[in-house]
Amino acid sequence: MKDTLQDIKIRASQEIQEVLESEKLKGIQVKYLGKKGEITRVLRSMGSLSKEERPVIGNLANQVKEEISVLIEERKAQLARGEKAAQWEKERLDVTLPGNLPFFGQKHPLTLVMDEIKEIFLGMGFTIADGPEIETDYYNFEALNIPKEHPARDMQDSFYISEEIVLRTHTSPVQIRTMEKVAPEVPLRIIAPGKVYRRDDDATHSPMFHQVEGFAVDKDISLGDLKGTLLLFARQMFGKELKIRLRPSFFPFTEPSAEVDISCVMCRGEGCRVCGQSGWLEVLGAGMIHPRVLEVSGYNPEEVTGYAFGMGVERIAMLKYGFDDLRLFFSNDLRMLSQF
Amino acid sequence: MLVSYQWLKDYVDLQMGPEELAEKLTMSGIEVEAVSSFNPGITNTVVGKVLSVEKHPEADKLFVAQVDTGSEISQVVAGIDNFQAGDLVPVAKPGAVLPGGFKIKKSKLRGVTSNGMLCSAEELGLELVHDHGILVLDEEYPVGTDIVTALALDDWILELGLTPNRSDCLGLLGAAYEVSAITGAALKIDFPEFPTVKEDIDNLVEVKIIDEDLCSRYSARIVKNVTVRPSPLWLQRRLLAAGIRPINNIVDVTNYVMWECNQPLHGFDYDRIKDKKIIVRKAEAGELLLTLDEQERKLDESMLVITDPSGPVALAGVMGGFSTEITEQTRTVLIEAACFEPTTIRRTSRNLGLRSESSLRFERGTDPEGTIRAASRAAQLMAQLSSGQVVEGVVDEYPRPVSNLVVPLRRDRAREIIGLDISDQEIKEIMEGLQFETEESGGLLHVTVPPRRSDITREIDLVEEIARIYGYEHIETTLPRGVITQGRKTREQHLEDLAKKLLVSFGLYEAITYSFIPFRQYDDLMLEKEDPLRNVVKVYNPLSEEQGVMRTTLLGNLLHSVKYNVNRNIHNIRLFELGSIFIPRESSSDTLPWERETLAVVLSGKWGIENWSQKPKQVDFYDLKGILELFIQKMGIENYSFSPVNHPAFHPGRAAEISIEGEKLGIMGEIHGEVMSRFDLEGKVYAAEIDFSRILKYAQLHTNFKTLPKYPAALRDLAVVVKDSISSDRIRQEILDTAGELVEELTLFDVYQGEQIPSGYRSLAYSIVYRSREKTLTDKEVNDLHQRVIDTLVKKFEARIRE
Repeated sequence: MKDTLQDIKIRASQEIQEVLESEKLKGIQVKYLGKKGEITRVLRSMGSLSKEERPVIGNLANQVKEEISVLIEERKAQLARGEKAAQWEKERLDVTLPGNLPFFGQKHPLTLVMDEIKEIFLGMGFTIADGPEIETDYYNFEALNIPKEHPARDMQDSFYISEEIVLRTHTSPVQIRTMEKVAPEVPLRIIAPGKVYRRDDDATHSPMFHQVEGFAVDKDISLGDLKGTLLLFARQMFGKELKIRLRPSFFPFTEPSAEVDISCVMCRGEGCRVCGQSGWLEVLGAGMIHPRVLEVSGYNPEEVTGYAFGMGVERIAMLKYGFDDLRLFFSNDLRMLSQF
Repeated sequence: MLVSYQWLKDYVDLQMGPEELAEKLTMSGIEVEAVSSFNPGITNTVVGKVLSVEKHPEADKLFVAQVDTGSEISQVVAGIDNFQAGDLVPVAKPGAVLPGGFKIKKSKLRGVTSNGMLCSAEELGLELVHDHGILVLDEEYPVGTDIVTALALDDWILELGLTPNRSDCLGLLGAAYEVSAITGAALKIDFPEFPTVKEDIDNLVEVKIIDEDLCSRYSARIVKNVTVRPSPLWLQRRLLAAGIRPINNIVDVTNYVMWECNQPLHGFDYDRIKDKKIIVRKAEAGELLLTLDEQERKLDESMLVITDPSGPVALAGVMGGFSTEITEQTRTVLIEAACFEPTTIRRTSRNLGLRSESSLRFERGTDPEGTIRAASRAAQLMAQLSSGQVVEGVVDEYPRPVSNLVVPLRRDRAREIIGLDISDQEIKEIMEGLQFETEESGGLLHVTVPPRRSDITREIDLVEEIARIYGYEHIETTLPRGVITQGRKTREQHLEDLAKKLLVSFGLYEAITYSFIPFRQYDDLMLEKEDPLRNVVKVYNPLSEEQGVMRTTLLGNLLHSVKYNVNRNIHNIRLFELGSIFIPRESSSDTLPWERETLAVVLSGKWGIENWSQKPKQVDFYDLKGILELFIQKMGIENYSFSPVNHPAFHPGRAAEISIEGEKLGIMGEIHGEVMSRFDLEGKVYAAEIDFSRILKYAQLHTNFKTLPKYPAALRDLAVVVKDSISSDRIRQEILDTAGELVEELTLFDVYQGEQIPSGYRSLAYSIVYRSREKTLTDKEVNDLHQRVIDTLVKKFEARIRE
């Protein structure tokens, strides 16, 4: 009987190893361990054994039974693992296929640049003001120290609506309008972004473009403060390593006046095509607000001073993104818009 | 303004090269836009002395010259013999390169060897006035001198980009003052004394100024016995460097001195001035003047003219007259050096379309104190170059003399404004470097500003001089001190930002289009003749009719943007623009129009991104409506509604007006087929235009958080068949009105017409979520409520319930 049990064990373990589907293990279990299975049969035939042999064979039978059921359980687990793996294999995806892109839109690159400029100046304690795009001659010129027939009017050929009404040629009128409202209170720190218009149309000029005007009026604002403000701005806009350079210039509404250059963002000041080999890019006009402008706006120029600056948004966007034709901004070509 | 580096050195003792000078000028406010070599590209060409000229033995039209080039005697074949033995001529030696890259080689011409080429002015790239043929030099140079040196072509031209306030630098003397101030180089302005012939000039000419406000000074000198001929090469060359074409010695001198002194001059043929009387007055309307360019000019009272008793002889400050022009017959020259009022000159030159170097200078304002110096300088040069004699004395009418201006300067004020710790002594030195006299008194520095610097009239102008001469680059960088200010956006600015963010998150791209449009866009949009949008602000001087009027709608521009993209084979288009429209005020044309912020959206093509795994559908009316609904909701506006409307630009059955509390907010729908074809578009485009100012008015951004529900919800579906003329909005409203607050959610999940539904009817299927915030609703409560909803719909709309 010992041999029979050994034989059962050997056959069972062989069969178990050969099974490939977990379903079939059920049959093996019934065949060997079931109520009518082979082990049961051995146990039932133990009546013919001696008293001494009975517990030995009984133990052995139980042992074999135990071993077979462990083998079955192990094989079951083994097969289950394999089947899951097969299932997973069936479910495998080509992860290199392109994904389904979320539906997406974007602001215009000029808006992105203006947002960034606003963000920088908001952080420096400036507030945002706006004014009309169609302006009176007074706000666009007279109050800014540009009387009729002033040669400076040559600098900006304007679109007129009537003798006294003009499409604003710069955002500077907002300076006057804001100061008029607030004077004689100080401090005043304002930026004014918006559309402006000049009679020009080529790859570097558009009849409509955007400017951001900025100005500050307080008890003791100096040219040094203007330099500091612009340096801080330029470094946040274009990078920490950036240098700026102020060159004396002329605007009727500021004095002293300056053209502001930044070190070329393309070549880092080494000299390239974009900066005309000079290493510098002109990006801003600025200066100390002219005493007469402070005066007409209701400030006493003996008591307060101020600085003002104005920058072309398209110019900055072109440098920042590497555009070479300004007119592209207004094409609304989705191949352009979708790059941002 | 073109400045010759060599010429400038006549007046200032410069120790630096042109590049360094350019940098210094730029950094002190006189921008040098370019520095270029004046050498037109000549190498290996020298001054040669002609030893002999003979006819070519084999060719009638060729000549053979023996020329001493310093290093050797060369035989050169020439095509002309306008020179003779002893003349100095330019010889391009074999290996030389002439302008245009023309290379000179040793060659044989009809059997005779030619070791180089004798050059004409044209071959040297110079537009000089001289006899036809080889350029015979008019001065002595050592044989073998490089022609570039001999003709002073080794010069550099600085192109100044002058700001309008610095017209003083439109003359080399002014530039020299500036250079001296910024570099410390000594000035050497010293015009030579010259002999004159004794004669009473007042007997020779009488000058009368009628309009003194337009001509503050008129000075004149006379040069007799002149011979009009080409100027010497040195002078011609300098004019070329200034960008001026040489003509003859008399005209050239007026231009030369203008360039030198920034004083425009005019030379009259004295003998052709009637009665030797000059009267400066306004032109009479309809008077005619034949100007130097042989154009008949019709004058009017706004123009100032120089006249003699017979009528106008010159357009003051702009152009001379043909009748008194300097010709080869001219024997006596009257030199005019005057000061005219800038605005008049500016208007005249603009109205006649005549801009000259002279008008440019007068427009910017000239120094009335400089007329006599310039007239005398010109007289001296003319006499010298034309073998003439200067008549003693000057005729000088100067009804409104100007004097030096004394500007008091508070040095502390200067230090404050600049933010610079500069000493009194340094300030004084800067003023003196500018050749401004200073005087200390009462704690102020009194600075005497000469009239040539008419841009300086008040203290702040001096502050600027200090800052720029000191150098902006040396000013310390600081930040404003004082009270901290808070940077923040206004409610409107926040809402604009939010609006753009929302639309972008819905998948739209932002467009920016021009504020001006062609008026015919209103026809293309098929707006009726009396449509208020046709009432526009017109641009008086547009670049073209395409930009003729200020827009009162954004729709046309966005449809153009659709077309622009379609033309580039981009068909899935979703754009928005947030910008102003301009509505005229009814009153006069001198009031500002109303600028109203407006939002427009266009959709076309497919909605979604197509790839291997998803096939998006075509956009439709409801895609656009959904965007607008969510947009309005997210702006915190609840009481909005969409109702059918007729609008000429939209499909008659597919347009809706959007309103809030009875106020019109905008319009949306499918663009009318006819409008589509007028914009050359195919397929379907959906568009909306919304008055953003009303959004700003009603927007409510504060969110009141509702606590999450504690009690379970009950879900019921309901399908009703109603006449299709009953709008879904009415049914929705009725359900809400009937069930009240217990309706938590109401979704229209199906709209069906077709089988089983009689024609003229449709089935609307809703799912309703009922929930109380106070308790758990019992089945009975929900059923009763739902039944009430059903009963109401049946009663109100004769609805049939679908099971």
